[in-house]
Amino acid sequence: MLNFLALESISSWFPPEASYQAFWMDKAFLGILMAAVFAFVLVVGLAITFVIGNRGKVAIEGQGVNQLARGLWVLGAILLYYFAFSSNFCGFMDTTQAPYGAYEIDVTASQWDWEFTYPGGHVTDTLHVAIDRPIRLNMQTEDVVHSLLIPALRVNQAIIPGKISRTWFQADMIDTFMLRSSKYSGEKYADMHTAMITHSPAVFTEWLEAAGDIFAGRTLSEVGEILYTRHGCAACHSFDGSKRVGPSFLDMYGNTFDTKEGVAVTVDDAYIKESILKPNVSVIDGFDPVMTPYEGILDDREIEALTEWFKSMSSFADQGEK
Amino acid sequence: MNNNIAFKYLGLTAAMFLLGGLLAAFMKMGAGSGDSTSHAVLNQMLTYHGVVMSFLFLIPVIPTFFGFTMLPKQLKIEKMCCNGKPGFTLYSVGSLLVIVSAMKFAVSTGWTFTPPYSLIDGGALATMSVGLVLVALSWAMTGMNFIKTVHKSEVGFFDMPMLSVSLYLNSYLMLIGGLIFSVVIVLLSLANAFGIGPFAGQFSTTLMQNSFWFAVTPLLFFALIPAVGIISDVIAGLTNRTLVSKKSVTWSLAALAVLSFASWGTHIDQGKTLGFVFSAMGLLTAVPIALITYSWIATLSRGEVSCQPATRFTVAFLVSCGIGILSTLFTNNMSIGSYLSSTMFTTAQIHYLMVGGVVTSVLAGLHFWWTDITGKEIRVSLGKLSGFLYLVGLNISFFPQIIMGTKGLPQGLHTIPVGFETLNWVSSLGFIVLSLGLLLIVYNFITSTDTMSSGHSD
Ligand code: HEC
Repeated sequence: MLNFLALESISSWFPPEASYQAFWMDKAFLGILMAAVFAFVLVVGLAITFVIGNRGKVAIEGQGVNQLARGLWVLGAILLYYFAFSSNFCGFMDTTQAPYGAYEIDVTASQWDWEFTYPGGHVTDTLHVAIDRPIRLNMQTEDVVHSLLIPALRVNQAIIPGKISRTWFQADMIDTFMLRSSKYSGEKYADMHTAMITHSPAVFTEWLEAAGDIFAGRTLSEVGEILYTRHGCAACHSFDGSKRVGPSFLDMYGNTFDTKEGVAVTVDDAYIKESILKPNVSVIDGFDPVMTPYEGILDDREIEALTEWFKSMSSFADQGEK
Repeated sequence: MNNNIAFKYLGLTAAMFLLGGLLAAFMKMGAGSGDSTSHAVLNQMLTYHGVVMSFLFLIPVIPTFFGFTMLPKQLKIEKMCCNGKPGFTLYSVGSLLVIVSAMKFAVSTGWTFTPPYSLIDGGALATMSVGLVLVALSWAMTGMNFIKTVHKSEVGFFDMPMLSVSLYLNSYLMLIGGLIFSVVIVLLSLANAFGIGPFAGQFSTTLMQNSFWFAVTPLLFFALIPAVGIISDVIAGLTNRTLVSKKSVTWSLAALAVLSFASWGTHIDQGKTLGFVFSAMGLLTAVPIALITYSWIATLSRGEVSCQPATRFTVAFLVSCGIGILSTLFTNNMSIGSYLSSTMFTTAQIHYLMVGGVVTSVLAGLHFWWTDITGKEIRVSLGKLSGFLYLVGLNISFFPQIIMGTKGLPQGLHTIPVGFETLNWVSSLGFIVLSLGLLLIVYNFITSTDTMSSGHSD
């Protein structure tokens, strides 16, 4: 009974258990705690008993050691340490290797922000996950050491510069939980917290579809700019006029260029669509046919958005429109 | 005449303790009152609290005072091998530089200087580093001095009282750890100022953390070795007996000293395999710790224990250092340990070990040997009262932090998140009680009287 009461009140030492791993870790914690309390009461209790109880007693002479008692004492200590060491060891090993097919989310930590990127390329500053399915986080830092702490999952993983730090979990409770950095990183370190929001799998899919729809609430040209970064066009194209591997998007729309075959082409909607889907059919003079075809990656609506964005930064825009 | 230098050291280490304590108090006030104090200032306080307490107080406090006063007494020699003055000068100049650095270019990297964060403000570490290197050299000199003194004396290793044994072993840690520490600090400030050296590179984080803890673990966590030495001798003194199976305690201390060099990895986020090895290393410490406690309990069991202030502090040591040691059971467990790392749990742990262990042992030793060393008498009842306040304050102050940690509150936040206000408030209350206890203790020592005739047992 007493035991039961103590367990009840000690479980209030913990945040909610939002995963199977958290549940086992708390069990291990309580087990070690009980063993530790026992050891503590034994040592301190004996010491106090002797200090108070031996008043006026005549000292026992001699230095003899009770070998048996000492042996048991040492054995007890070894067992205590071994028990504490091995508790939940399987649970720990589990956490090191995500199950096959886990849902992957990329995490970028920087002073003093979190950024979560979902498989479709959607980016958020709070972590959304579906319950009852393994989630793997691939974490990177842009600057100093950070650590991802989600108390409700008992997850606390350091993110070391220059490598990808991984962790995984499977939440089983729908709620909003604290997520923060637990590694001191300077001035606004205390503000480096956000939320982890768990959904049922169906709600998560809906959420991602709605949130992942970049057209919602944006003009076409804004969407075009997002696609430009998201699909890596920036590696080869600038939009300030400077030449990279490919021509700059500034003043491109409506302008006229020569192809390698010496044909003059005017950049209009149709030409842009062709250049993106089958870029190496007609190659602009002075460039190599190295652009990846985006057929099957960008759909008509997205190409339309890119086209709008190109128009918005071209002084020849009206010449392309027919 | 050794006492002279010992008291200078005691004064300086006590001043550092006071400084570190005041910083802690300001931090608590700043954190309690929302974000009125700027984050940056609180970060600096946090850094200086750590640096001052660890390097300017905890590491030198026992060896310097008890070394210079008790070592000659216990080894029955006239004086130490060297007079310790150069070491003291280095220590004072070094400490001064650390303090000056706070005014000139306050460092806010945290006291473990983890790169790349610690490399950001180019040159910021320079002044403090010079100070810390001087301090580290003074540890090394003190270590050398003790080693030579012990070698010169006639007393054999197993015949020395435990304090001398522990100081002798600790001297090697101070010597080797101090030299490695200086190198680490120099390399770190080179990386910080000029971006050169091994810590400036891509893999600097892991390398630096490994080297730092390799030097600091033995120095800091095994500042507990002389603490165990003091408590062993105090228990022997209080019971007026030799320790039961003293030889096993001697061996245990030696084993702990060796293990301390091997256990640096427990403070870093290691890979799976290394983590396992370091975690298992904790297992090995179980045997020496068990042997030591067995000897203490057995010694106490054999008859009357004299009841004085030092008895209270000995019990206080068993309670609070016991909680500290037992808390390592949780942090050594791989799954729980990774969750609790860099949370308030580890803050509580280091304070239970360093305040509860090291500071309490210093107080036990001071109360027990004060009359021996100074010829003055303290008030017994005040000593007992302050011992009680100290123990109660210490636990009210640090136990809530254990719970804050398991609830998932990280270290070093300067705003108290919702849900932690009560625990934080209780902890602050404990801090006040603890400070009050310490003030009474200091008052008791300062006003201790020359003769046996007046001012006590009132
Ligand atoms: C690997 C580098 C590379 C990437 C990535 C790349 N391109 Fe290109 N792109 C080129 C090169 C080289 C050319 C010029 C040769 C050609 O026409 O094929 C070009 C040409 C174009 C043209 C025709 C320009 C003109 O002036 O006629 C358009 C439009 C275009 N790219 C759009 C895109 C978009 C949109 C993306 C991202 C979804 C993208 N490119 C990604 C290399 C790249």
